[in-house]
Amino acid sequence: MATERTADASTQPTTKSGVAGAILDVQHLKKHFRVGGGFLARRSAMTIRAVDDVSFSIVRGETFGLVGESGCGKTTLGQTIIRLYNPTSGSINFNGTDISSLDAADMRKHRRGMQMIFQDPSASLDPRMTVGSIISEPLNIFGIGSKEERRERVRELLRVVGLNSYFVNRYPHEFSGGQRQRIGIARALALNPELIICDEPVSALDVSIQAQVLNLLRKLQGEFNLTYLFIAHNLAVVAHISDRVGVMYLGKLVEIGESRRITEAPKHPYTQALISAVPIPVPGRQRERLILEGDVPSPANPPSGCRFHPRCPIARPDCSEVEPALRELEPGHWVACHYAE
Amino acid sequence: MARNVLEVNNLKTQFFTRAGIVYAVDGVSFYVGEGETLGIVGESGCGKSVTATSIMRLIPSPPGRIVEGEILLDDGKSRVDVLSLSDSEMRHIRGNKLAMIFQDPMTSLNPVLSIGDQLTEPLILHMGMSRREAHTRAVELLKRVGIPAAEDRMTAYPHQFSGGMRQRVMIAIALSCNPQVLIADEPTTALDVTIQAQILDLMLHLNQEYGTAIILITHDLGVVAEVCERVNVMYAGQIVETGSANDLFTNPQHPYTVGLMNSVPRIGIDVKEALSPIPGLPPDLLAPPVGCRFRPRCRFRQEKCEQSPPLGEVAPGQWARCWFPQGVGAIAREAEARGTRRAAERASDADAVTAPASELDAGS
Repeated sequence: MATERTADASTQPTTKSGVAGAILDVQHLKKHFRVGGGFLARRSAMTIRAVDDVSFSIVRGETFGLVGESGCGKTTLGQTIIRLYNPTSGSINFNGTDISSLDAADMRKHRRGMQMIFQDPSASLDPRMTVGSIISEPLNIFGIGSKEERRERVRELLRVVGLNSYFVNRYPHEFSGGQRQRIGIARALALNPELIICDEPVSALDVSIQAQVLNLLRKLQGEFNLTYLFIAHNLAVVAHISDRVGVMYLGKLVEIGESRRITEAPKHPYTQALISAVPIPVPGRQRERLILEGDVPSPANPPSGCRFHPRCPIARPDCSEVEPALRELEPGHWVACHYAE
Repeated sequence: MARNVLEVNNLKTQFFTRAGIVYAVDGVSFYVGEGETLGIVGESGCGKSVTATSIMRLIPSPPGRIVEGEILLDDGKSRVDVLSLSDSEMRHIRGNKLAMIFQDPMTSLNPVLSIGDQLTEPLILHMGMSRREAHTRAVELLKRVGIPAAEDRMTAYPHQFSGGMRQRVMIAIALSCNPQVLIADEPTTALDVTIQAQILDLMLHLNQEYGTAIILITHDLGVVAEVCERVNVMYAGQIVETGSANDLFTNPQHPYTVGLMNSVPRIGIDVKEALSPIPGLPPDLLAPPVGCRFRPRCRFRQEKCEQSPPLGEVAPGQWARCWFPQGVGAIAREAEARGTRRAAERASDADAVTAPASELDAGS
């Protein structure tokens, strides 16, 4: 039963053009890590179920937001999709090809179509490389263009992300955080990818700079017909930039829906708590606040049944026994909860 | 009006580096009333944390030095200037009358001492309690900040706690001597939103119950709006606007405050609306701009802005460091103007960082 329901989720009707237009289709993806154990280990090995049976698809040209708290598996999910990790099981269809089990050489061809922007721009840019060589590295790897063409392309990319093209010979440390993130974006754009996985691209930036980068990402999306998988913990940011949002909790997607529906009428009790926890910059607006008790449990030993049940305000006895599958509460709005209405 | 437990007058803290003098805090004055919650907001490098560490006298020296100003602490009996105290006198105040919690509880808790040891230390030192008394009181404190099985947790070490729990322990330590002022420097920035909600709730609760004044330093406008009664907005080492949270959020007067408000994506407000960021970058505090420090990024700058504006009263109880305060309804006007500006922005490629001036022209 449960598997059937999850299978339904794959054919989720989307707001745009249905699954037919899906650029990325992830089915039952799992990524488990074995930790500990080994010859001299005092403790036996544990399995961390970082991503545990996640299914969703992204339509070409849309922004799909992935939100959740630290440790919920959102970053692992992004990195597994781009095959920085090998999935434990499940399929990842990118442009109609299952890339979940391609070898490194085949994967390289497909990676040209998907690029990644990382959270910390100072850690993801090599401090000993000039901006020019950072941005042209992907072009070199794929042997695109002559040297002169590549140089011209780098200058063009710098302009596209709002940097001055005479910055090519400077080093990352000469730039501010927001500018470094722009360099990271230029590098991601170098190969004309179709899908960009943005992993917390603005969380290290100050609000005024954050707004600049968010506007830039949106502008580029229109210009180059990009599809984004936008991963972040800040629900306001995710809702702002995304067409649809998926909410993750302990390795599972608990709710998927249009961004507006998720923020205005969240169905899953976890999403409701998450939204009510976001402080709103309007003083005196005392909201009915849902404060969750306790911490997120360990993904090594997730609770039985619904993983949220120990903290859930509407949990009933069977929630600890039966794991809820995603079900479609209203068109395009999927919730993994037995009692959400 | 309640007594001011803390008054900061013309505080100037500078860092003497090889590259020159960094004017991190440059003439900051404010007060905190008894039991009040004051927010200090601003972006990284605006001097908000240096202000806090100056009050605690924790500025690393060298390279830092408080070159001017006074920090008056009033315990109801006497007023002392914290800056005139000797180191040993200061040790008696720190953690006792003035307490501070930091952003990352893992680096401010000692990893090799048990939670119990760290909680009882200030009680024994400042309150002169015996070990046994201190233990009893420490368990009480842990319960008060919502740590389950407090008695058992006394022997645990920081790494055995989650981030939220560690911050609770930090709050327990900070409150152990009933301080008059609790300075919280980005206390929830490292935490997830649901945990942040728990911690803010706890801080407000303790503020109401024990009347501890709180200075909350944060970059998150949402957090300020929920917790603080009054707010100082800092930019480039100065307070650029101050007033009640209500006035500041509904009618910001300084263009920087208006810009900050418009930069934040909000839940429940038209999500597809483009944000209106502040163009450019915060200035280098080695050589802050002459005149108004926000001038290079300001859309409303005029010739007069080359002279430093004073922090002037723009509305009852609201002060802004601006020659041309924005007046009532700035946010609404801004939103209206946004439509036209967006079109202009799309047309011009300039995205503010490299060419603030052209962006400004495109925007007007």
